[in-house]
Amino acid sequence: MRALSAESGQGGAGELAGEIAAGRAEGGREPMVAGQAYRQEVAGFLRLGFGYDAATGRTRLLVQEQRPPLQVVRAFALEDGGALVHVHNLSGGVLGGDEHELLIEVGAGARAMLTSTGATRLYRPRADDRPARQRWQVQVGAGALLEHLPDVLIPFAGARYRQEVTIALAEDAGLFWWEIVAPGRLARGECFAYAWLELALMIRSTRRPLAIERFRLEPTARPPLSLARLGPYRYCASLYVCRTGQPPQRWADLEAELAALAQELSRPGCCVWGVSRLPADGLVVRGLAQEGLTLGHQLPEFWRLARLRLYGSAVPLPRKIY
Amino acid sequence: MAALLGEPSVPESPTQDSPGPDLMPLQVLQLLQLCDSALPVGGSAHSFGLETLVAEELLTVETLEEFLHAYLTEAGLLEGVFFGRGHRLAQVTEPGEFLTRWRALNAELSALKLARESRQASTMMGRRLLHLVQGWFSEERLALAQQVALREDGTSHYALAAGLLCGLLGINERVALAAFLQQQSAALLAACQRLLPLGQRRAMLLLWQLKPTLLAVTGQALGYLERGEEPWQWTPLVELGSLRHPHLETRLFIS
Repeated sequence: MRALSAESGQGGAGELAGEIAAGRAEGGREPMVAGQAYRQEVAGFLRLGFGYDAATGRTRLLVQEQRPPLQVVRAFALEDGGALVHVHNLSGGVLGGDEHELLIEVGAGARAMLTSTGATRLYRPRADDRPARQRWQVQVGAGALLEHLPDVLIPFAGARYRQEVTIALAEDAGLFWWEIVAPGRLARGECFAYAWLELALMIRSTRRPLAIERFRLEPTARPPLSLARLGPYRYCASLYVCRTGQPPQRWADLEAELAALAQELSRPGCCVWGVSRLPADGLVVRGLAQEGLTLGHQLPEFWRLARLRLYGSAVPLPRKIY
Repeated sequence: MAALLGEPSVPESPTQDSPGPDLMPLQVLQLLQLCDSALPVGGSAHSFGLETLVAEELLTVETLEEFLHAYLTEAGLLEGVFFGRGHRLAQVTEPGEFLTRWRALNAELSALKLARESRQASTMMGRRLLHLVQGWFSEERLALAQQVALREDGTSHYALAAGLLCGLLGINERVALAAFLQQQSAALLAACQRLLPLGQRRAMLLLWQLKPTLLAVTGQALGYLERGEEPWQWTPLVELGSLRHPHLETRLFIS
């Protein structure tokens, strides 16, 4: 365990320990078999806890465990007392057969922002590599806030990748979680040249599931440019905005405001945006575009506006991105 | 099973290879009535996002056939699996367990349907279906589902409600599921007839030609049910169509 702050945060992530073991067993994944292929398969592991320090009014980071290639170097203080953390992948991307696990706990009252250091590159695997996997288990405590604002996911030709994200929100817990998926390494002429992507996400409150995604993108068998899927677009983005316990009318108002922004930004044939309330406690923003830059520039506008309305302030994006 | 152009072929459930429906004449009549496109549950008021795609000149008569094949493979599979889960819920006889699972399934499907308009359309149709069949036959679990739909929060999705009804009536799952998917397809085609220059003859031909797809998706859904797996669905453009539908200047449909 390595503490990156002078003091460990309150509401540490100790209770995650049992769940880590349980989660691994529950996941039902096959044990790693190393040494059979040319390159040894890698199992990155990162367990982060964020705690609110009442004395200073700031959030502190405690790195409880990290195993390469996943690594966190330090936390940066945000204007609103939160902590910004860059999650590094020292490999430069996800290789075939990699199995990464990230356990994030944001303690009561804490505010954490996670980002990547660059695009998440899903490298072309060797023929005998097992599919790469990345699994996130996230807990956001009472009155806490987690913002996950990574760069784009770029699947290289032949990539096979499964991502599972499970997020549990306590009372009055907040979440901003976005994802942008590229069609591939376009500069190299790779467009939908990956084998398959499976993107599964579940967000739930203490009372009910709020949002579930189970996407399988398989260009050869399920043509992405079908009108039932992407149609004329190539990039897709989503942003989940949640804060449990807020009254339905507040979501209706925010939906209307974000939908107006979506209308303003949409240019059918180039980029389209839409907004919808979830069954409870949040809403989702979706975008499709021909060009990734358009999505990358416009998605933060929804985040800023939603953050301003729900938390009364907007903070700058991590500078490295824009 | 007919191979679908450009679509995955998922093996059907091994236990369902010989359907052997053995439907009684009464069950045939019941299924025909439940899957009649004229069933007054409000289906004709919804396009589930297609109206936006037509308004933006993406969906046309020429692209309709390919669209329907792909759409059924994605959204039809999800609906089919939940229809099957509703059907199988009829095997749960203990009322408390039934109610818990009924609510959980509806909550899960609500969370999967991210577009509010389409989610509300599904629950509105489910509620109307459960309301409609009041007095048709008496069954304790049906009464519980009706209680949830009509007196509580009203969350009763159409696929689950239709599946439950067919299960309670003892209608063969494979046959009922195929009929349900055909009803859904017919409803989409009916919406397209109002949105596009699509005549009756062409619409009926398309519905006829969709049958191999319907049976393939039926088999896939049963396979998922047998294996206890979660279905994948990825229809972002249609979902965007539903999200953006409230902002169309002229709307024929509620969703």
